[in-house]
Amino acid sequence: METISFVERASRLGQGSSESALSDRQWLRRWIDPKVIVVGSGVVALVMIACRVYQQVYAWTAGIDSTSPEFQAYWMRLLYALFAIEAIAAAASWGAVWMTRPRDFSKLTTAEELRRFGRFVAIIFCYVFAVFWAGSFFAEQDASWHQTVVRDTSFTPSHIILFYFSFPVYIILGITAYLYGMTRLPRFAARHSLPWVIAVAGPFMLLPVVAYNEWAHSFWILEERFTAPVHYWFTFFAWSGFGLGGLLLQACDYLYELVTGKPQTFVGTGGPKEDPALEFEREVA
Amino acid sequence: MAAGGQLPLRREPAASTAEEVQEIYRWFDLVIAVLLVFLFMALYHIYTMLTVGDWDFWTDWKDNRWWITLTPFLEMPMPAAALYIFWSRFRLPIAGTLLAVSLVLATWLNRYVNMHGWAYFPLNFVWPATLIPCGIVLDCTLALTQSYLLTGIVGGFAWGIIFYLANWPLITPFLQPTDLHGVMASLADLQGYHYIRTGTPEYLRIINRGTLRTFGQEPVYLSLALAGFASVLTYGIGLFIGWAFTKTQFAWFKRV
Amino acid sequence: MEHRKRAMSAGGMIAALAAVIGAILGAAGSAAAHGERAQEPSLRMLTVQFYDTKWSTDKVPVNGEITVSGRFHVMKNWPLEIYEPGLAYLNVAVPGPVFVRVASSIGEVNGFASVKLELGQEYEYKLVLKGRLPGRYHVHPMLDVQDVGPIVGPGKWVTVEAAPAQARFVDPVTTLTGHTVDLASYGLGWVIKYHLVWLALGLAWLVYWIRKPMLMPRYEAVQSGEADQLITRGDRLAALVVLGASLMVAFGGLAIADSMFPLTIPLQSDWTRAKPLPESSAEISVEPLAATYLVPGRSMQFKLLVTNNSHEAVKLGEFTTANLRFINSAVEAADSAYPAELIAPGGLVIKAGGDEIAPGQTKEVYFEATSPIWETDRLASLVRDPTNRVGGLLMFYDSAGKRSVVEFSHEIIPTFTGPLANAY
Repeated sequence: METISFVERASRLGQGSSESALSDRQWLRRWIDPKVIVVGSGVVALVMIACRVYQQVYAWTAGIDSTSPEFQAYWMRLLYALFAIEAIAAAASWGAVWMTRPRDFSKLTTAEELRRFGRFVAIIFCYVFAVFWAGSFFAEQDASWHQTVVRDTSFTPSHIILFYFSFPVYIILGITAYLYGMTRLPRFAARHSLPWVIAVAGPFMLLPVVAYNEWAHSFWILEERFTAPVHYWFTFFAWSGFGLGGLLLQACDYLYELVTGKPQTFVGTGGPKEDPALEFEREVA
Repeated sequence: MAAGGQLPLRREPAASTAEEVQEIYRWFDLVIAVLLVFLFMALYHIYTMLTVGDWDFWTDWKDNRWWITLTPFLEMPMPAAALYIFWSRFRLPIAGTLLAVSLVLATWLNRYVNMHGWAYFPLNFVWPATLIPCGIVLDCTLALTQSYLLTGIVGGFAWGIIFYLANWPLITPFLQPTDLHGVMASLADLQGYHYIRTGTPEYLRIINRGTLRTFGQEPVYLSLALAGFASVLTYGIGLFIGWAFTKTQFAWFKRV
Repeated sequence: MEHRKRAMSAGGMIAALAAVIGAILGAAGSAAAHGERAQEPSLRMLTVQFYDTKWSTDKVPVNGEITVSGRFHVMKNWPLEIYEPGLAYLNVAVPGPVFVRVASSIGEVNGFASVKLELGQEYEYKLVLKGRLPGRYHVHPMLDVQDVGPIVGPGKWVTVEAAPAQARFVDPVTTLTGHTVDLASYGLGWVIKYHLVWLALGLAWLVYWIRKPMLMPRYEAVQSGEADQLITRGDRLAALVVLGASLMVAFGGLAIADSMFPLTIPLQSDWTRAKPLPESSAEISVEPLAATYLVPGRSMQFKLLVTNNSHEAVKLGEFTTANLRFINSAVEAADSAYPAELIAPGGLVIKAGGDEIAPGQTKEVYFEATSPIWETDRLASLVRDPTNRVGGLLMFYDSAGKRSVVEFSHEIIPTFTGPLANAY
């Protein structure tokens, strides 16, 4: 029964540990806080659907001539409003995470650390959910718009939502998640994880790529072919999402160590003898 | 038992029973599984739309030379990278199918809500291709051979071939000939002509405009041969990228 | 409010939501241009000039047809900073496929083709459009020119009416094998069913693995060196079954499709040369001498040397550029069917050089083209562009009404204080 053996083995790891000080252990069943996931993703979904509905109403009626007064009224004003909302949201979320940070890791219990780790994963979930709206939903919508109309501004009804709203939203969430890990979890406070930095900074780089894209479209790419080389930088930075693959492995090690109290060993994959994080995370305690 | 058992306890374990360990792990599994679907909907979709998007958007781009060659081999590296991570660390042969299913969900959502619901194109003009058969072939080859090399050679080549086998039936009904006022056009061409795309003129199409008939007078065979071999190559590139990302597991640094 | 009603099933929920929110937020305006106003004046005034544009009607029912036709002139003095035209494609600037194009021609070539255009030539074009989605839309003929971009012709409002009896759009096409299909929905059922089969197979494979302990327990096993035990006989069997089923579906699907549609053709491509109209302008030649834009008066002023080599005296009747028409009302009646916002009746005034050029005569002509449309159509903004050159077509008429169309272009200097006439 090969399938069972590793499950059983995993089960045995938890046994023999001392009685936890925790009285209420119910939260362990859902240690990645579902409320954060549902509320965070729900807000993202609602905001994005609202944007989509706004496009449905005003894109064709007020959005095809950037020189017209109605374009100024319905689209440029929206753009400025979105910039303001983004600034406020960024300041609020980054500020809240930073201002409420615990100053002392020395009294951190394992249970509390697991709880924080769960919240960290939940915020990353919301980040990934926002990346989906930007990288998939509104990105391909951009094709449906620009292959259908004459391009006449960088601030088209699809660009305003895609580049200047859905991109900033996931950037805000990514940095929020990063700050949360940095201020709440000892090992992410002691060191920067390279894959995690890639997973936040890479998608952020799509915004600078927008500048290149618009620069090119303004004078030598006049038609819309989605596979045009001018778009390749977006593709390049899409790969940075694989940083979450590296982070997943780090997360698995972390989770194993938190749950079992044992250090990860990497016997089967030829890694270091012991998880290096166990060494350096003590620095902050 | 792993060697870790002899090492001193790091700290008090968070779980106190075997059941708790299982529950904690299971919840992690499920949350990450959903997260991965959204992640790959984003990553694989943006990657696909910017490498072969135009062929995927419109029936009048789905030709017998470029579409069936470029789509499989350009869309190979990302599943291959995920395949390396999932297989080397989890022994899960699901990466190809997971990415393909995520992609097809993302593309259909977009075609329906945006291409159709916003830009008013009929759905029968903007349906996407499917990479699911490619993903299944790759994953199943991996599960059966348990070898990166054999998966690359056999599964990678099959990935390139089965894209045509599985997607050609989708375009076939649209390749019937019609007479467009003295010019022969397929129904797919006619869709592109009827349903006006202001920003995408006809000459932008990259479709078969060949001049030499080789390989049994049938460009499909040539396209298939290249798709298969090139997929093997890009599988290797993707595998390498996946390997590189697993190496970041121990990359922690002190200052940014 | 130019609110498009939609006769389509899709996006129904979004449309309903949009309608609610639209009603709450109030009416949006209507856009009369399709982005051409953002293009630099040098592109609009020096490359392709549309003229004689006609719309057969301004109201069509769903499934009703409208013809847009006319001519365009490809400027001989094509600006060197803009790529010379490669291929061009006759298109329509409408807000999405609210019409379908059922027929078109460009220079006697079927408009299905992309064509090569020659500099300095005139071409005739025709577009037959069929109303698809009810609403009121601005319809422009348009020329997509490779490496240059879309060059948009004049636009006119056209209403697509939802005739109660026949509101459902149909797009019947008869294939060469004798089948008539509705291209608006043809083949969609097959595509969806086929996709669902593959989705089911893919999900089956994924569910098989997700049911098992997935990430953490397997990761632990791999890290402790037990990776080889993780793939069981059962797993391999499942792989074999799914693989076999996939191959069966793939080959079976192909066989079914082949038997259903034994006769198929590859996608068709027709790149060819359009045939220009016979040259008509050789008899009159124009040499521009000076051009200025009088900023306070919204007036472009031109000094030209005109030579009439024909046998009839001719008069300058019209100056047209970038779809704007300045009419010399002494010679030409204003075209009431042309969009009023693009026409300046009486906007062309001959200030010096007389109205008539006799046969064989060479004469300096000084005229003004004055109208606020220079501003509203954003051509006057050229003073902020790197290329300050204007151009357009001049229409000369003889007493029998025979027209000669002559292009010209020249550098322009803005005048911020007084008219060119002061210096003349």
